Amino acid sequence: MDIKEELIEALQPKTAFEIPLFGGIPVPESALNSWILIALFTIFCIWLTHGMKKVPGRRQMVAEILVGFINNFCKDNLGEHWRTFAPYIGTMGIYLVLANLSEFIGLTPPTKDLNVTAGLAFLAVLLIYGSSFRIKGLKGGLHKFVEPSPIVAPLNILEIGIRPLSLCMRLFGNVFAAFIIMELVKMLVPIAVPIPLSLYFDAFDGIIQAVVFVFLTTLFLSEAIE
Amino acid sequence: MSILNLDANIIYVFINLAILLVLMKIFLFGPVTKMLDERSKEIADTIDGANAKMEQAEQSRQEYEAQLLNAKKEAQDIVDAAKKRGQQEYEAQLAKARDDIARMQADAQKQAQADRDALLEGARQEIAMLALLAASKVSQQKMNSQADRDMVNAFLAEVEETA
Repeated sequence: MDIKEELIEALQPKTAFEIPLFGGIPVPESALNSWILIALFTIFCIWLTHGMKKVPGRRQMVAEILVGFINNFCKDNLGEHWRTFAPYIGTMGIYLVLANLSEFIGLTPPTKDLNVTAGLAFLAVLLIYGSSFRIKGLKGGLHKFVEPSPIVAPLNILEIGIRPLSLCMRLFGNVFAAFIIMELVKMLVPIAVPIPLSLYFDAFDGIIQAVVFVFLTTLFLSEAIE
Repeated sequence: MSILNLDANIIYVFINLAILLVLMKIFLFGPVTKMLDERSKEIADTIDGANAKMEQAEQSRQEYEAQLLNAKKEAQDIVDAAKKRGQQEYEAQLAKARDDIARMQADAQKQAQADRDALLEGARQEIAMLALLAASKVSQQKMNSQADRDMVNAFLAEVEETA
């Protein structure tokens, strides 16, 4: 019983603090942790990219490899529109990797909060269908729903709901499950054993899930705008 | 709050993502993509410039080669012309020298002939005189009339013919 209560306690999304405005605006832990991650990574980026030169130094090389990787990924998948989408896809990927790895700096992963994964999935779907209508026009965007054949139109319409749900739940489920497993392991054997398991569940699985989320978003997006 | 909470706090995700997007655009994607573009543009420009320069160099090389060939040909022409002129000059000089020599020889011959003729004439006169003198001595009379002289000359001519 003791373990169960402890576990449920650990799994509860917590409210970190309340902003004392309009009778108190609650700030969830996931948002606070996101702010910390955003602040840290922004500082890291400023450090990487300040004083950039034509002939890159080591710091600039790291930034260029990171951005070049994201840009090339978008170029390969999205073709001529990569410039529009690369920053958003990259931001999403960076945020997910940071969030999934945040356990390593002692923060509860923001992606353990269903709000976060749902929000990300909603934004991804908004991006996919928004770009489809933006680039293809109203007619072209609507025509996407009867491709490759009008018979599949109902499925395509269902996908508007299915895609964000699957994106959201896959990410949330993985991070949540990893979190539960790690909490249980930490309760049972607090020393040494959690290290390799943490590397698998937090690092490996976290990165895999971030990649899957970004990759699927890009795939849907390329399908929507091609 | 339940574990599967989906509520108004979702707004934080949108705000956070927007903030991160703006920050990343300013501090990561913006400057780095710009730098990468600039660099690839510079590389492309450099390669284009190098190609253009190579082409130009090749063109000038061909031009120079053509000029060199032309110059060689011209030089050859000049040398040929000079040689030809020299040959002509030489031949002209030679011909002139030959003419001079021939003329001089002819003159000399003529002179010699004239001298010889004059000498012969003198000798003939002398001999005629001597013959007249001798004849006058033999005949004991003066033989200096025109008729005598003609007779001696005819005799001498007869002797010359037989000799």
